[in-house]
Amino acid sequence: MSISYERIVFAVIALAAAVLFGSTFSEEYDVPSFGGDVSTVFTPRLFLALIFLLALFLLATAKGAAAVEFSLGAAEATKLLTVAGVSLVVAFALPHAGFVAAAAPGMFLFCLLFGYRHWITLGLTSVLGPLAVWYLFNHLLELPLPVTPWISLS
Amino acid sequence: MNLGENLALALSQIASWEVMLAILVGTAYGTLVGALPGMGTVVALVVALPFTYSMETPAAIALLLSIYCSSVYGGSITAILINTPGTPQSAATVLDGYPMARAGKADLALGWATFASAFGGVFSLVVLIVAAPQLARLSVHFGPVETFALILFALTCIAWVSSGSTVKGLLAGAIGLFLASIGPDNMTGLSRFGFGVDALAGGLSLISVLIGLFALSEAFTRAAYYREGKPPDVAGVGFRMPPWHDIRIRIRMLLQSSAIGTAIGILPGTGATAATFVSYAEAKRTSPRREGFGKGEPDGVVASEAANNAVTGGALVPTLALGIPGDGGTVVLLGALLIQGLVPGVQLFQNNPEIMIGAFIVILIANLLMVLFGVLGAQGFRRIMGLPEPLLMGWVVLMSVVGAFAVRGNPIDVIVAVLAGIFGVLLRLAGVPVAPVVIGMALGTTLEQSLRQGLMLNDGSFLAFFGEPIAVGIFAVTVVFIAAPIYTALRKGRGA
Repeated sequence: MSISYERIVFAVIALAAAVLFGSTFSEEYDVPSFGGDVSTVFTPRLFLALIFLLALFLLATAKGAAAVEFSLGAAEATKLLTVAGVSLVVAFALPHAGFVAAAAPGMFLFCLLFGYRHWITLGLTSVLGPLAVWYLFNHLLELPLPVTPWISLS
Repeated sequence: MNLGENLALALSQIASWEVMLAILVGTAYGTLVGALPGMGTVVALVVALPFTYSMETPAAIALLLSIYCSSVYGGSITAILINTPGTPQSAATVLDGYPMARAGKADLALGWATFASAFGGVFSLVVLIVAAPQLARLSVHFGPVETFALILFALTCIAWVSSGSTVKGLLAGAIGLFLASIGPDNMTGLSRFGFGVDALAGGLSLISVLIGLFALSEAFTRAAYYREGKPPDVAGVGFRMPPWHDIRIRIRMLLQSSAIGTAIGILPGTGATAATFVSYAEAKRTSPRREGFGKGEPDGVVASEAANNAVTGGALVPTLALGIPGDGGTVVLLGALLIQGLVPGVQLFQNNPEIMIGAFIVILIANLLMVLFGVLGAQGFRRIMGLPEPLLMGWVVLMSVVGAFAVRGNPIDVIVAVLAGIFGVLLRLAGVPVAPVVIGMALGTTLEQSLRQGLMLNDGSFLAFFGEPIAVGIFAVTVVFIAAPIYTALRKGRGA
């Protein structure tokens, strides 16, 4: 693959660092400091400047796709983005749908997209797994996970 | 309270059924997860972390320490049986362990790995018991300036020894430092980089970022590259303790490898993988049986396994004494200690000596239990390792969600964990190590606070930092650490 992921990643990091560095000069951080203390954004500025310079250096010296730990084809990239997307949807659904209703379909889809095709095992694991975890945490460990509003599981 | 009373108190806490169960479950689980290729110590700890939130302090520490120690050993099982190291720390075990297994001596290879792991673990425990309290006592003399110098040194070590490029390690560390600055400023209370998002106003949870960078990014990556396949078969699976005569002639090798592992483990950020390869290379250079290396020589297994398990005790020295984690595993342990209300450093040794003594005893028991699990579990582990990878990773994702949520009961932390997972994948794609990110994040707040407190104590003069003798000493060591590799590279360049 001819795309250098290194270059893209370092360019994005450098750009983000530059934007964040610029944001430290906004009015909200214009707060006086006392007793020898530095500005509230003094150390973040140092860190962001360091990130920017290092990312620029790496961007300039990046050798290309062959130098990275692993390469990513179109099929792998699609699969990766899909499983990450499913996880993100589960994360957003968690407070609204509750743990079981969010995690059960999430686990089913994750394993399915991963490449698992044994339907009975997959179905049972996806339903019983989150239910067991929910029961364990809500009732035995008393660390309540979000409840599913439209299903009474207590 | 004297040592005897503290020991009695520690023993009384450990003697409870909760703690014993935690050690037993932790060792078995740690060995098993360590044996699953790619899962590793951090994933094992992260998955278990939410269970500790509701546990009593001794049981929680016992569980995590047992997992921490045994997961490193577990990696050797797959390295020997299926030519795939369960953890990166066991990568060198493959070199001689797998050839032994192919030659029908898998049982003996497992025996050597188990014995060497336990030996290395106990060796480093002795060093931990001796060195950690001394280092913690020294930390009483540490003010903000010395703390700043020490954290700067730790971050330098992390950057220099990061796998791959040094600059990439530095970049990862700097990103971690910046992530720690998101949220309220400890000195003024002003919220930074919140951009009006309420969830960011409180700052990012270290545990959520850690879960994302290690566990979720691993799961996402493995999903992308998953291909159904069957591991290669090896003969002679079981467990056979090496004969006493063979152990006796390898005592020097065991001691040498354990010493290398412990010494490297004490340096923040070095980790067991570096220790393993240094130890293996040294063994290959010094062993009287060096011709057999790479063809199934037990010395190779001994060098790798004694060193990687010795790192556990070594890495705990700065973690417990100074609150400076050495790797991803010790970051989780540090986070768990803080969640339990225990702050590493001299106060931990002075105020809770029974916890520290108890921790030492737990590590000893866990190391001895590893031998038992090695004897009993060799066949069983092989069957469990045959479980479908998608289901295993599905459970990792599920427990990661629970772990991220349960830290603060905040759903935003789950979103942060998933986003950190995606960011972790991007970093891996660019060949950037993720461990320095979490270490930088763990140390960032203290670094900033100590710098600003130091400046306030010295009327804003940074030059005054060089008037503190301990700080100057640490700065000097830091300069040596930065200069040494550059000097070596320049000399090599001239020699070529």
